[in-house]
Amino acid sequence: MDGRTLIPVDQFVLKVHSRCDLACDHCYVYESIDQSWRGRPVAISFDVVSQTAMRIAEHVKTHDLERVEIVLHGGEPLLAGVAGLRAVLVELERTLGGLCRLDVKVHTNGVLLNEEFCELFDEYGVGVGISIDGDRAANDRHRNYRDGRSSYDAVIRAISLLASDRFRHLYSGLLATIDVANDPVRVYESLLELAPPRLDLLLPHATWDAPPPRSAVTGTEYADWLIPIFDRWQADGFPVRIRTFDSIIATLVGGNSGTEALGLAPVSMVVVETDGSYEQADSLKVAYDGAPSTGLDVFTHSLDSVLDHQGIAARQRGIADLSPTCQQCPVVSSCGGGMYAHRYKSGSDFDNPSVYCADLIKLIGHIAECLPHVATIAEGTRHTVSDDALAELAVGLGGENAIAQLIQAQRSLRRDLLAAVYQLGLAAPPVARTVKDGLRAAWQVLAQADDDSPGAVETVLGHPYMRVWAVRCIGRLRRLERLGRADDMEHEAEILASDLGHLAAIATAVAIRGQARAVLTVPVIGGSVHLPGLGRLVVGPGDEALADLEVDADWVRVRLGAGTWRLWRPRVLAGEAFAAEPFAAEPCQAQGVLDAVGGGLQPVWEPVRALTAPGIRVALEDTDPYRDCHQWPASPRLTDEEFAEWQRGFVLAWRETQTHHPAYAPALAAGLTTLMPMAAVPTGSNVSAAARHGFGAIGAALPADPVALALLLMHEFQHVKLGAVLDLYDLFDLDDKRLYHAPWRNDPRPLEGLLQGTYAHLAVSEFWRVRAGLGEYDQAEAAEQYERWRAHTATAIETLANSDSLTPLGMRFASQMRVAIAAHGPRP
Amino acid sequence: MVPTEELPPTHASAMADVRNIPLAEMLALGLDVLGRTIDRVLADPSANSVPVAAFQSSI
Repeated sequence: MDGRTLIPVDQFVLKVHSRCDLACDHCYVYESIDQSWRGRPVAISFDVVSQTAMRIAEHVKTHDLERVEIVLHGGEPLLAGVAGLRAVLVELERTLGGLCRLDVKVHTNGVLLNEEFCELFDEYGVGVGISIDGDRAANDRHRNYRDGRSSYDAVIRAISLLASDRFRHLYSGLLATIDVANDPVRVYESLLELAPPRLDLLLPHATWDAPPPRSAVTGTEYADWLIPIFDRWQADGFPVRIRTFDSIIATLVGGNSGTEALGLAPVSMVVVETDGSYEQADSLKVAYDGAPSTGLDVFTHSLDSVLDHQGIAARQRGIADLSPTCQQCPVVSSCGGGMYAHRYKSGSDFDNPSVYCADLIKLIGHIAECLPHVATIAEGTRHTVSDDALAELAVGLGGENAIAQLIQAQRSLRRDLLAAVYQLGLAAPPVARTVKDGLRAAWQVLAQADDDSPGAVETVLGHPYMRVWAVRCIGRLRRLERLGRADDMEHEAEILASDLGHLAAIATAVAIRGQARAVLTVPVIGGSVHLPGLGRLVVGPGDEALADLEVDADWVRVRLGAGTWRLWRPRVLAGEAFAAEPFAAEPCQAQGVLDAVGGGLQPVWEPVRALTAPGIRVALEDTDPYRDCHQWPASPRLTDEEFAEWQRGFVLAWRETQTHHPAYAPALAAGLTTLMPMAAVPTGSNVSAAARHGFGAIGAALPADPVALALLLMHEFQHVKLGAVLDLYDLFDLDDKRLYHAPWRNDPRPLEGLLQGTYAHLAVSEFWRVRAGLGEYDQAEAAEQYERWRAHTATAIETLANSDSLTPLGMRFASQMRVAIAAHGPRP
Repeated sequence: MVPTEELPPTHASAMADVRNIPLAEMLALGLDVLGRTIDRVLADPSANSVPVAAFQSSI
């Protein structure tokens, strides 16, 4: 063996046609040393497709692959025609469809792309990437027909078709080959105008024997060309993903580049030529004649045989296979020695730095310098919890300091989620342009406020249901990606429009708290305009799906249809309830809208109210549109009387906690931010729930007995704490899908459910232990409850400990729970 | 010499601390990087079906 960990192939470049209708003079297929295309069939045959699909299926089964990516490539793949490509797609789907997720893309010069092709790609969910080098001047420098005619207009037509509402979900991105003679910023701007979801800026393939064209004598012309684009990209707020830069940034923070051109990650890609030959990466064609060849083919050899080929093996060995110069270089983890082909030199073969070495060093250094905060991630700034704090948590408690450490991690997670929603939303082709414009406007407000009033951002992002919202958006956006077909996407995209629009509501809440100016459009959900953490403006049922909000130093103006109202900002911040004031500029229209949408009622501002008791203040959240994420349904907005009942119950429950369960009070005071009233259940049982994504929140129907409320809070907050610990650490093997007996339930539970229940019942046991020792309660009943919960908890701890699925940290956590339950002692 | 106080041992998690990265700079991270933290949270099947814990009191 060669000492490497074998990486299965999961990306296949399938050459469906070996000729091209353009004659680009920088093409590595036809214009480089390797001329093997001349001896190959013009188009792939059905036998080759069928045999290739069979080989991939065999490989998927052997290595249990969940997903493979197949890129239909050429020459120019569209020369295979609609019928030819349909035959390929049918065969791939037939053989692989039920085995794994099949992600098919086509990479084309675009000149033949028409509706018929797009309909075929829609039918099979094929993403389309197009090559274009920039504006007309840049593109015409190389990308022309054989007779010298420009391909620019035909390519632009193709991109316009792809960017249309009907087909934009197929639009994968644009690829441009760099020519340093072009103006870099002009190239960037012209490509951006084509609204691609992704951009790739490719270094022209070159070797030390055939070095790249350089227009000056600095030796870093390619870095000097890319750096102005990076600077502009950063100044623009990273409006599109650019793979070259993304790859470098990913490696700077210790991740994989996601491309064979950079980084040390093993390459897991194979090319299948039109005759069924397996080849290494196409780019090797620039090294020497026959360089990509493996001598293997789909008819005779499995893909595992290909993995044994020395050229493939060399690209899976990471740093060990790089030249000594590269191995000692400080940026090697980012550049990975550059693209394999670019290292070639006669005599020393690939045992050299890249011919772009100086460019890569300069570019990587520049990016690291421009993103000083990002670079700190690579220095190991990870969230930690002190051993003392984790031990406190494991015995069921956790003081202010322990909870603070969990809260800090939640802050990071929420910023991650926020940025991910924004980026996924912008990158999703089916999301309407107006929705994306709304995302951009909201992000601008948030990013500015993050500089000017970070406390406001932190407060709003700290709202428990912000994470629920973000997770819902990300789930839907990822589902949208998987759907792949227009019809399926339409409904999903409509729902998403409102969810993504909520980012503007978040930004507006930040602006109000941070005293910033903002003009944003927010969704009207359930007849209300929602401002998370602050409250909602009830506008009543109506047809308007969106409201325009303008925030300034004193007012929040709300325009809905033809009507406008305003809210005085200090009153919003003070948590007052009040009727919105029709805005004087348009009194008649406003009245008309009021009559139309509200039956003459004036919109009313309903604030989030706070429950207070000595040493604790908790929001009673009955307005947030994402609060209904617990096991039982949320209650509608509470009346003033109902709120007063909650306040009375809360004070008594908190007194009970402080008096009889003081060890649990500090964690609640530090971490419980929100109570979400639930609708009472018909049976009259007390119901309460925590939600994994709603850190800081507990949902409950108000029990008649405040002592019961104290128990509910203690119990549910255990789930909140443990959920936050599980966000940080693996306490058990996530792959353990077995179900376990939980003594308090009839149905078996997954391991996490058992762990959650056990941890929560530590508090329940403690609660009853104390109650059983008090004279003011039915002691026999309390003692019985205590005996039951202590025994259940102790049994469940042993089930966990004997599961063989706990990690070392999980085992330690379980032993500390065991110590805690043992300390509860026998029945009083 | 000033004696150095020994810090209590800590448990490092896989979650990057991004609290001090300005939101504007967060976007440079791209989804591949952000996804490392997010996938961990979203991958948990019980976390995906949002309600994971519920209690019916018999009190």
